[in-house]
Amino acid sequence: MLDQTTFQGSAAFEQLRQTSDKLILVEVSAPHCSSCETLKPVLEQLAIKYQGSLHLVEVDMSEDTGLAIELGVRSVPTVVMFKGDRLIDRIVGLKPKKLYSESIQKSL
Amino acid sequence: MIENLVIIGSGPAGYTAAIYAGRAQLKPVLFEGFEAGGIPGGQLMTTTDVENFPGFAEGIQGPALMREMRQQAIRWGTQAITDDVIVVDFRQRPFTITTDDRVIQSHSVIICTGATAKRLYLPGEEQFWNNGISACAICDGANPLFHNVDIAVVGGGDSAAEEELYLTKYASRVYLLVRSDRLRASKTMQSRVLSHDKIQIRWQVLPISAHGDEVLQQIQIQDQKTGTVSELQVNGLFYAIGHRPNTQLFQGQLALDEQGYIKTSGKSTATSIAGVWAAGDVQDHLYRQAITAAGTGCRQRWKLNVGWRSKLFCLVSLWPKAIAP
Repeated sequence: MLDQTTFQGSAAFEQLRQTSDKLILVEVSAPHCSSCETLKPVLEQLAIKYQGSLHLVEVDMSEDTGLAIELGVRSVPTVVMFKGDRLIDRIVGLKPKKLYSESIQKSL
Repeated sequence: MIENLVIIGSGPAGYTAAIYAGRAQLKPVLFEGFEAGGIPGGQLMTTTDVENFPGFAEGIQGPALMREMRQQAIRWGTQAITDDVIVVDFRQRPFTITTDDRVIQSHSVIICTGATAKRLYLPGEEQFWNNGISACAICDGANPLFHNVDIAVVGGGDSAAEEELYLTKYASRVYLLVRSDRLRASKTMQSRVLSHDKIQIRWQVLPISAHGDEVLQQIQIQDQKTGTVSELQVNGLFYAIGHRPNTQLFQGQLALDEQGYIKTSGKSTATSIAGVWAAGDVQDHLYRQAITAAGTGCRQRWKLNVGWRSKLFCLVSLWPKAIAP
């Protein structure tokens, strides 16, 4: 599991949080959220670029409401970055592409 | 390499321009945008049912319509790039268009950057932006924050009515705050709003400040006739108060009107610089419909092509004389 890059859902996130020491990017989205659709390929490309150094977990707020509440998500897309239990960064809304890569580079 | 045509913007105007230019074998390059000025696909990406676009008897979802337009543009040879244009130079030819990742030169440009939802910038708005205050009900309505609570929508037009109706799926009560004493929305939308039991309309009021702790809890509203201020307990506040044109990129280079819309000459889509055209909401503050945007998107390609054909005709007709002994 730890070699894999992309995951879905809160169960995968919980397991990674306990077992992996790599950077975990949680992308919280919702159905019908166009900004989320726009952001998705950008994060997927970044996950490929930094393969082996991070995990990308895609979370659907309408299915994993509990995790969305726990992460304090009030607007989607929200990207939350963790290392273990430590919250590293949070990007709310669709922001310039550079911001995502810069934040990942800083956090690796 | 110098491109024939760059299109900036990816709403109905941009994709229509691309479809027509692609079919004329101009191989257009289309910058769809990323986050500046709204998302790729434009305002229809945050619209649910589109019931007035001809050809869809049962209506169609905004994002689905835009996906079809995009596919159609790509099918005819459009190169779609999901990047924001950050600088343009129309002062010299060929024109230069710059994004974070690339610089492209082009003989002609069609601007279809559309318009973005306005905000009120109330005291407290910055604190609660994305924590209860939003300009997109379709994006944020499903958030648990808005489930089974009271919320408010500001505006009186079709988009306010549409957001209002959408939010009734989640909220227990939805206030509609209307500045004047009537709705500007179409008769169909008005009757849906007026007959909905979860919707309560407050006439001639405007919000003046936002309050809460971590999330929005309350807004103050002011009666526009008497000036009386009162409190409204709501956990959500959605803006549907119109749009401003996305023309910041072109300030100082193209002639804009006092509201910031690109000026086009007469009935044409020509801007103040030859070779640069504008279509859709960026030059239209009157109709602002998907179908009118698509209509202007097609018109300028026509001009573009006619212009080139006539130049080509001149060259061909001169050629034999030039080489004749």
